[in-house]
Amino acid sequence: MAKVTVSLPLPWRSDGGLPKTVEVDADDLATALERVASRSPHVRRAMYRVDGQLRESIGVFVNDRDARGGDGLRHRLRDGDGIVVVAASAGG
Amino acid sequence: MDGPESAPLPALTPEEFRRYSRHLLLPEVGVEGQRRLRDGSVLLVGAGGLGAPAALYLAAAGVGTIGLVDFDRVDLSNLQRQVLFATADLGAPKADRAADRLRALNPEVRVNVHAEPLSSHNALALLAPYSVVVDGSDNFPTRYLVNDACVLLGKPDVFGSVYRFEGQATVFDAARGPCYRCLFPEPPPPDAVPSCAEGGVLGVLPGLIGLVLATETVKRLLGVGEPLVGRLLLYDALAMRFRELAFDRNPACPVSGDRPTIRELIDYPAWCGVPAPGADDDPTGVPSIAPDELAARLSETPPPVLLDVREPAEWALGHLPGAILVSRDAVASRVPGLGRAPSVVVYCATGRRSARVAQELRDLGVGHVLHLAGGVEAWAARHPLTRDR
Repeated sequence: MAKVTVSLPLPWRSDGGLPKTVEVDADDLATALERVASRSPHVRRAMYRVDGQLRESIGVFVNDRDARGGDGLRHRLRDGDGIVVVAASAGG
Repeated sequence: MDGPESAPLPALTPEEFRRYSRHLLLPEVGVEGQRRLRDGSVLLVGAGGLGAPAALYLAAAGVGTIGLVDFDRVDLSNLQRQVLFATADLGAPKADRAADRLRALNPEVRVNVHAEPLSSHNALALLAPYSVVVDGSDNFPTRYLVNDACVLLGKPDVFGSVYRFEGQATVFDAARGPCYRCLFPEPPPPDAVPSCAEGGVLGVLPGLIGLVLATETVKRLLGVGEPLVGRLLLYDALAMRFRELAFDRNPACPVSGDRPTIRELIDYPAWCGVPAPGADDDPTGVPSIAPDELAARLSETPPPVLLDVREPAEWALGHLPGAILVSRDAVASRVPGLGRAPSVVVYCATGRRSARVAQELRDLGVGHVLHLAGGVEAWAARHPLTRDR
């Protein structure tokens, strides 16, 4: 399995008690995100709808590119890949 | 649209040559560019943390027409970051004071005041006369409203947002790339993302992001540089690090995609599941209690049980006398002890979170629950808070 890092948005870190970046082992994007969600019920609620679908109020980027196109959550990961999760924020 | 292809513009005056001399020295601006700025018109949605620095620099740069949409009044808690306002402005309409400040800075700038909430009813008419829209609003319904209106009108939406120590900035321009709905097709659940009033914001943060918005606006009016289209700029003030993420237009986007289904503005507060900006009601329908009425009830024996569902950091700034701090996740565990209370009043910072918690308590069978209308902010305007030593 690939060793990848997942950078989390600030509200998830402060409210979910997770560090800024989490390291996980995963072959694909869906698995990597599920491994992060398993660490905090708050993050799971923020990441997934009740039907288990990834919320569309967050953006998921692999190596700084939007991962929602192409293979989406089936995107195959390689060692050293960096995943960034961005949560919509409206503060002004 | 403003840009190099615009028709010949009136000449600069001798005073304008002096005022903008540092611009005129730049080959990318020059006399022609300065005339384009003067011919430009920018609508700022929100004259708050982001809008304030953006407006100041756009006026200083010589943008000819600046519109300000804001129906709020200046509050003491604004002054930590909203640099358009002074202590003497407390209680005054923001848009009026902002206009005064911008006119004082640059009398040549025409400032239009729109002291009303932006809504589906007025957005297209308000945005239409302007060439660029800067979205520095503070809520999701307005974000989606501004986006959709900009897509429908074919205007760029210069976007910024801030939260605690981090900011986001990008330019949505459906004519050249993705829109807000391409990036975030749906809003987060109500209350999932705290506002700055609830979660806090480092005062200097909107200054930096606001100037990114001003920079992108000036570039757009001049027709120079690489626009921040399809690129989401993330800024982490604590790490002092910028990160750029690339995102694409979504062909299935309901407003800017290949087969758009949104062809007119919708009811954005309803779509986001939140009250309309400026509205007093909450979407839960849970009865509320006004601060004065609560103060009277607290003097009765026995008083109502007061549950503070804010974060510990908010509690430390001051709370209602006799209140109990309860984390939202632990509210359900309080239910067995609430049955004997004459009534239960839940409160938070603004009344948004407390309405949801009060609804949850009602769903758990606690029928005598109210929530404090306007939260601690409304209470503190008329009654003292208590602080733990």
